[in-house]
Amino acid sequence: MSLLGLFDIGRSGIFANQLALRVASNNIANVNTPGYSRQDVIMQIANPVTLSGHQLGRGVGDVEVRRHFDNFTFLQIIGQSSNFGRSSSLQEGLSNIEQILNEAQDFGLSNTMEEYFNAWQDVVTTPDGSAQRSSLLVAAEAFVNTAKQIERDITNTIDFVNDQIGDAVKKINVLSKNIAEVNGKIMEVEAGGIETANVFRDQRENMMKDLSELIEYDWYANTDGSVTIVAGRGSIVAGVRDFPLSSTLNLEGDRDIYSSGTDITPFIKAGELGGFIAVRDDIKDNALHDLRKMIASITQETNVIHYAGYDTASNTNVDFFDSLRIFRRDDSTGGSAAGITSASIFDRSPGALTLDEYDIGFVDNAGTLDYQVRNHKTGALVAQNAYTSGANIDFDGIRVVITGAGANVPVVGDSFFISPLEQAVQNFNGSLTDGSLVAVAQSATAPPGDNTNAIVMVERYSASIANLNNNSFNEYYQEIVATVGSMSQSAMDSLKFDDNLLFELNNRREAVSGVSLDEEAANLIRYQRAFEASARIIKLTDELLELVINL
Amino acid sequence: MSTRITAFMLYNQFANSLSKNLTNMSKVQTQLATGKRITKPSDDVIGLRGSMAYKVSINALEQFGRNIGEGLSALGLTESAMSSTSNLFNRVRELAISESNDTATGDSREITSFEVKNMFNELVDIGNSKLNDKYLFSGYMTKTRSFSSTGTYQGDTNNIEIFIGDGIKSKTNVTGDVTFSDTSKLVTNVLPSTMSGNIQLTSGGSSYYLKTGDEFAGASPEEIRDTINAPMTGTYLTAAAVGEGTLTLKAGSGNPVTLQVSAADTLTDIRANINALNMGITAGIFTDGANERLFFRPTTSGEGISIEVSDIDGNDTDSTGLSALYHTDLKSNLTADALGAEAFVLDDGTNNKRMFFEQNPVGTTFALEVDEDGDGLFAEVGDGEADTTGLSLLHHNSATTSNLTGNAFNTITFFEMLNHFSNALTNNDRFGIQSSILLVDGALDSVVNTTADVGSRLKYFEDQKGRLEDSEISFKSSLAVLEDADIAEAAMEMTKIQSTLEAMRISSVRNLTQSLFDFLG
Repeated sequence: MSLLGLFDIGRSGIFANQLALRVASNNIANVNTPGYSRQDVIMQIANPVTLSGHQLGRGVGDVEVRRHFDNFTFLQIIGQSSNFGRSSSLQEGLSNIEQILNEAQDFGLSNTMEEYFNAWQDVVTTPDGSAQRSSLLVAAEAFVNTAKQIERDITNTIDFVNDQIGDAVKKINVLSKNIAEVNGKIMEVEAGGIETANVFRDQRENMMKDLSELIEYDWYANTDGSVTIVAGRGSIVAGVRDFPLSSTLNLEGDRDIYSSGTDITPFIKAGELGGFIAVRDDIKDNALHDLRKMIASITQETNVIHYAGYDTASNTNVDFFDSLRIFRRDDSTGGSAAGITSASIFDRSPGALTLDEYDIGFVDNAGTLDYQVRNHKTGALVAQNAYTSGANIDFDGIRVVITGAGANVPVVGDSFFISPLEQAVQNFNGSLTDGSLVAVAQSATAPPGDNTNAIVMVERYSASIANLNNNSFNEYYQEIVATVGSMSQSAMDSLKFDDNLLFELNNRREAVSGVSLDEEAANLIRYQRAFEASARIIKLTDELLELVINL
Repeated sequence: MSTRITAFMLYNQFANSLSKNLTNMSKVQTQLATGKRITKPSDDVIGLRGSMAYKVSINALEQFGRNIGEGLSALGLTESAMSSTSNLFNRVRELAISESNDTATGDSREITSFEVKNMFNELVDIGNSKLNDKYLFSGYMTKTRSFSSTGTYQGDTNNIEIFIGDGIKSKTNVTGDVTFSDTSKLVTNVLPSTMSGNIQLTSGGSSYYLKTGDEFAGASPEEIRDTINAPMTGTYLTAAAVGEGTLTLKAGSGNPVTLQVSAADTLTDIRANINALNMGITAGIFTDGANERLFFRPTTSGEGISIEVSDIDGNDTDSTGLSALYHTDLKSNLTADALGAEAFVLDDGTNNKRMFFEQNPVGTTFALEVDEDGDGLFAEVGDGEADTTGLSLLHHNSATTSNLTGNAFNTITFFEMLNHFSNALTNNDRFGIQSSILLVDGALDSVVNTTADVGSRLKYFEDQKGRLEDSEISFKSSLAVLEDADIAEAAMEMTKIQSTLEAMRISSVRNLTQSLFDFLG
């Protein structure tokens, strides 16, 4: 053992502690960097030498820089971020709808609807008053416009949600591309098989956290250090490769998500994307559908009564609102080129036309081509019969004709959507141009004081309506608002819960991976002192050597 | 080992709590600013539902209140029209009473008739009362004058209903056809100037046959009236040939007249002989299908008559021979029976005469049937005895004998009454004037009934208005409970949040700024 061995010991101490100072400084510098995992140095004793039967240390041996990272917490954060993302987009969408239907502030549809109903009562009280009749038309117009405004606001919200879906897909694609890139870097750095790519791993974990907020996914780590990410049943990242998602508008004007050509929309449940898809369907199936159904029902009931009455000039068989129309859409994917020739209402009485939506499909019934009409919502079979080109397909007051020869003959798998509701608000308009045309009387001579038809109308407006699940119009609208309110309320509750949980998880991550300035300050002093001492060893050795040399 | 705490966690904790407290504060702030507890549906879904329902109800109540207001003005005007009508008829009654006195002269009656004609026009004006340019008494035909200048009703019979509560409808009008008529009077259609046939009056189980055997031949309405008011009496069954003997007839204060009946005389011969005497007794025969009966009545209404029988067989009281005609009453003065009905002729001066009947005494049931062709059978449809020509205009086709309410009978309008009265005055017709009193009494009764009906509806509307207002107050307070913020509580909550925020800020400023670095030299 020579004196020079002391040099080595001192030198190893200087190197090791210098590195430790570096790591501590880097920790301090990154104290506010999101996703940064604090690092520290793990110093090992250098292999000793054996002299005269004594094992003598040779200073600090290998030094390893290690990051503090809890994989279990990370897994939980990934899962919880998806839940949080879903809740936040649900809440965002529903609070929008809630604002639109905000009855708490007295500006909602309920008010104008009530004014419209009241205007009919004024006509009952003063059937021969031209002011009352004109006011009725004005009230009807205000009601129509409010209903349209509300529908427009709702469809705008849906459009906005669809835009958000498109944006989310773009963000997902950027993230998956970056993750694939970082995968490559990690594979390079860790070619030796040891997890040393601390920075890249921090980067990737950060991106994976962002990704999980956007879309729910499964993932697993490969032995080469890369990760494979599977979302909606398709891989979006595998090693250094990424598989971008795409979104396309479907026939209903909604964005569907495709992964490598496959529609994966139904499989995306969580993350912002899952939340947007869910909220879009919630809005369409509840607020929008129900609003349309209510307006369709008002149109239907009002017209049936008004049609039977007489105006001041004894005209009869006139509608108050524009008539309901049948909306049709070819939902066939592939199949034949068959199309619907005509779709109309042949019996608009509330007993026949039940204001449901339908799908017409085709099945092979022992060699005969049958058409099948199913309820769009419940899937229940409404009508089935052998298909004949040009023949009437009648169900629930609706008549559909499909004429076709050759390529236009429907085949099994063709599907047509039929709805009296789709455009009910869009086509909701008052038909009358003058108050004198309101059919207030039931008697054909229409004496000016005959208010009997208006009485029937007022009574109907407060009666329970079979097509609205035996609710009155007011009750049904209250139901719509309450449904949106409770959906929004539960979205808000979930958001609070998910936010809280994520906060706790982040705290737990922070407890392990976060930088503590106090800790680092202590480390600085500690390593500084060790550095100083090591330097003193070298100085001491130098003095000793000088002493020896000068002997 | 305890959990590692880093400065970042403290920051995070602070930021998170700050955000939560600020969210709460903003919510309480909104509550204080708007005074509402619920500012969006998700604040309280159940509460919002309730508040929406209350708002709809309050809105409906306010609408019902407005409807009732309209109804009240219509009913109020109706009530005042009725009170004017009542005043008018009270005056008519006074006139009718004073002009029916014997002291009244043709001149005074003629002068009064002018006044009555003016009153007629006044009544037409009352009948044409308008509210907001709508005729009050025209039913649905609110743009049509209720009555023409001659008092003809031009509206319809419909009642205008309005909503005065949830599902509660009520009438706001009365129509001129019933309001300006006495529906209790039983008036025939316009009668021809002469009619023929027989009349059977049934009252209280007894039947009275008028002008039996020899029918009314070309009788005027007045003649029929007098006959009904002074009918023949008694029913006497005889064979075709009666026995020999002597009849002693006496009418009023006239001398007794003796009539010899020979063995060969038939009932028809006796009738002819009596009537040929022209001594104050009129005889008639009624054939009931099996037998003939001889009837008598004083030729001059109200005179007593007596008939004594002297039978050739010596027994003047048995049912054999001429004494079959014997009747105890006929020995003394015979007065007209109370028929249960009194007849009057309505004459408005246009030769459209009609008749009406009064129960006498009131409450007596009576029925009237006719035998127009004189075959002894009454109310034969095949004989045209229920049609609307000739004597059968007097027939009432009610199946029961309770009242003369058959198709052939109408009510009498107030205008017809005034016309009748004024015509009677012009014609100096005392009976006509007297019957006018009867008519006016009926009119006043009818007005009282209408006024009571309208008055009770006014009361109902007022009550309903009160009830609606009560409900509105209670709904509004329920709504306030649901919807309004508890200001005191919100203010307290605000103070609490503020002090929490303050404490948080102070402690975090102290804690977060401290670092070990501060103490390194």
